[in-house]
Amino acid sequence: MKNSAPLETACKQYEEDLVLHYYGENGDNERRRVEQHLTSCHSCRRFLGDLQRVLPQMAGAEEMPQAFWDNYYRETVSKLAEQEERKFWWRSLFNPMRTWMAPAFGTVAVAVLVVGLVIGKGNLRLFVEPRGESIPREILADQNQLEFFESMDMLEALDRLENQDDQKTDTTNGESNRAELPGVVA
Amino acid sequence: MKRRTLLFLALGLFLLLSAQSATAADDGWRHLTPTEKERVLRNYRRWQNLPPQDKEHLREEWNRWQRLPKERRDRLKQRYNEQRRGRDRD
Repeated sequence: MKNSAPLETACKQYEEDLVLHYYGENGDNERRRVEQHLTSCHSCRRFLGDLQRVLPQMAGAEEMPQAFWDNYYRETVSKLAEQEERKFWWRSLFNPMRTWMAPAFGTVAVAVLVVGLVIGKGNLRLFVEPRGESIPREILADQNQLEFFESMDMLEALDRLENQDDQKTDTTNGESNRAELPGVVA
Repeated sequence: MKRRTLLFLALGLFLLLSAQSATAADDGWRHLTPTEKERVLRNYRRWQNLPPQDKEHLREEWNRWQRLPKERRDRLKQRYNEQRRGRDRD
């Protein structure tokens, strides 16, 4: 509140000299003249007092925290970028091409390659010939699944088949062992 | 940017491999005889109605089968086919 108080009015012809006096920028003669005037002029003394009170606050640089300057820098860079963008607005049309469109095009290319492989490998039959039967996707999920369902009967009989195979192997081994023994006729 | 590119590449590779696998299965199906196709479909329907413990057992048998030496697998397969042909004749 004190800072906002109006300055005391000085004598018109001394106003400018008093400011220079305050800064110590007047010559010797001027300084003496002003000092002499000040001894006799109450208003000019108060004006000078006000200058001594107000001017340091106006001229003194406030110390800003580092965060302020960081923020200031970011804002400045951002504003410059915006300005640049407005200047070359047409570039934004091509910007996405550099960021997400390149990998997207890559994916599309892979998809096209896949379709090409499918067509080439299946001699177009996969697309041209409609299937007369509907095959569950679970069967055709991969080659492994197809083989599993194809071999399911055999898997159920696997234990028995292995036993038979083991027995046959034992018999064969027994016969060959007998044949190797001297005096035994196979 | 790099992370996104890698993501797209991984997706593309996944699609490629999936398609390759599905194509292999399609090819496998096309090369089956009508009898074999019928057997696959019949087994699939049967599989759907199996209780979970039987499914589990069959999966285990399948894993065991795949771990068997090729020579033994061929021998067992041949034996099974002979027995099946014998049953079909009867």
